[in-house]
Amino acid sequence: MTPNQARDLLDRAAAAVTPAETDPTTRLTALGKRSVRHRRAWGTAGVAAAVAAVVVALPIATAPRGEPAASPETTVSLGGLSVVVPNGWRTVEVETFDPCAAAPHTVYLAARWSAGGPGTRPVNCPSKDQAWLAVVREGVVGSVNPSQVVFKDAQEVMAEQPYQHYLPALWTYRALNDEIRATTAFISGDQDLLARVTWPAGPPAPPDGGLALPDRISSATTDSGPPTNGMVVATDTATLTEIRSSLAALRDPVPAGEECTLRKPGSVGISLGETTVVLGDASCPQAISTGGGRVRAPADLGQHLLDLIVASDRAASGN
Amino acid sequence: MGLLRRAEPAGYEEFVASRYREIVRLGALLTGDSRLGEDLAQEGLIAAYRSWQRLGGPDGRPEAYVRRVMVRAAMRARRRRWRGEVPTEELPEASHSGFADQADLSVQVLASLRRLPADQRVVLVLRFWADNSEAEVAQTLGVAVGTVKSRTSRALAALRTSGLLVESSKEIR
Repeated sequence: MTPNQARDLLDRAAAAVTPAETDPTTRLTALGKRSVRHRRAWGTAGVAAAVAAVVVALPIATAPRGEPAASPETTVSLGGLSVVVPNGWRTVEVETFDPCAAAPHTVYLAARWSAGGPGTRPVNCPSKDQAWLAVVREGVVGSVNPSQVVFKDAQEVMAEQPYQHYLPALWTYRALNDEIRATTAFISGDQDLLARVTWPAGPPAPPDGGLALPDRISSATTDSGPPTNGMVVATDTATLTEIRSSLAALRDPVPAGEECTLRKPGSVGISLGETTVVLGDASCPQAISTGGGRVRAPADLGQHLLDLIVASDRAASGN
Repeated sequence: MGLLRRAEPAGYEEFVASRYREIVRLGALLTGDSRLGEDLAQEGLIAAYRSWQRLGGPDGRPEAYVRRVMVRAAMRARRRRWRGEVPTEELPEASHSGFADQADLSVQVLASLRRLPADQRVVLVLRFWADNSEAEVAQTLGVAVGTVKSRTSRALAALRTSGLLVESSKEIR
């Protein structure tokens, strides 16, 4: 099927769709008003107030926007994350955070962020290589196979470098969990700033040890890695049984203080439906589950399970 | 502050009236279902209402905003799917017996879209219906261009195996 055929099919399908609502304007306006009233009931007024509403327990909530932090080493919080503001830095609340326009030595607190689009960014972002930090409530999208999984504050935190070309010094950090968009720390210029961010603790290890795994697995999904980075899925019983039994056999918990960072290439993330498991390679032979638990793992187990999923996927798709 | 103080945002009703059908169509493709698509469209339009003072301005681009909200909502289906929800709806046998008319074709295409994982469905619609470039899709979804390519390839392969390719090729020629 060529792109033109796909376009033609989609055009034809769309053309046959007729809305059921014959006069949507009145109803949507009423629903919109109701939605605004609902939001006002939870906050004060307006979208900007919604930002303040998510800044719960935020010491700077009463600070004027854009003013320097009132005192050195102020701590601010948003979405469960706390940040110790460095001396001399400003704290600024914005509705939408733009990484390209961030000012140096500033901590931003935002409801959401602007990913921008092709052609919307200058070739050189003014914020490039500058030291700044942002906490964004609706942050980056979760990943099954993150670039890095860092253990911090009893939480598995996934780290990504979202804009390697125009913001190479920017890393994003968010809890590795099942949320699509989680509160995210954007850290630019000085990754030591990560030490100033505190996450709430993640799920505890299962009481009987090992990794928290779903009772029943109906699919195992991962990323086949370079060069295609395609999603591959195993759904056959034999493969799923082997994957689950291999993971369930990992019973040797990693003692506190011996956690290491799982890194790509080498680490393998596998979604088992309710839970995602990430396995490291020889550089960090450990496995973690988003449901809880960190255990020692054979260095080649991740690759072995990846190979199983790829083989299952190929067999199912006839490739 | 005060973004929502106006009781009747000027231009909102005109926007809905003029663009509703197209937005519902996008919703139908993003979900593979006309009714769900209309729900998705309304979710996007209600979100636009809340931000209309900004969107209704000269640089507002309300339709782009609505589309972003819809894509985001459609992607939530990915989590449901990845949580092990296996679609049970099978393509009717008619998928191999020809497409007599436009309505049948539409039903078949929507059914095929419904069977795709949300990741692939959204990429397919953004690439080939909304005419976004691979880079634009990658930016919108927060994934690598390579991921867009592979999802596109898999989605096209799935449509091909659904039986749509042969019949639609005949029609296109």
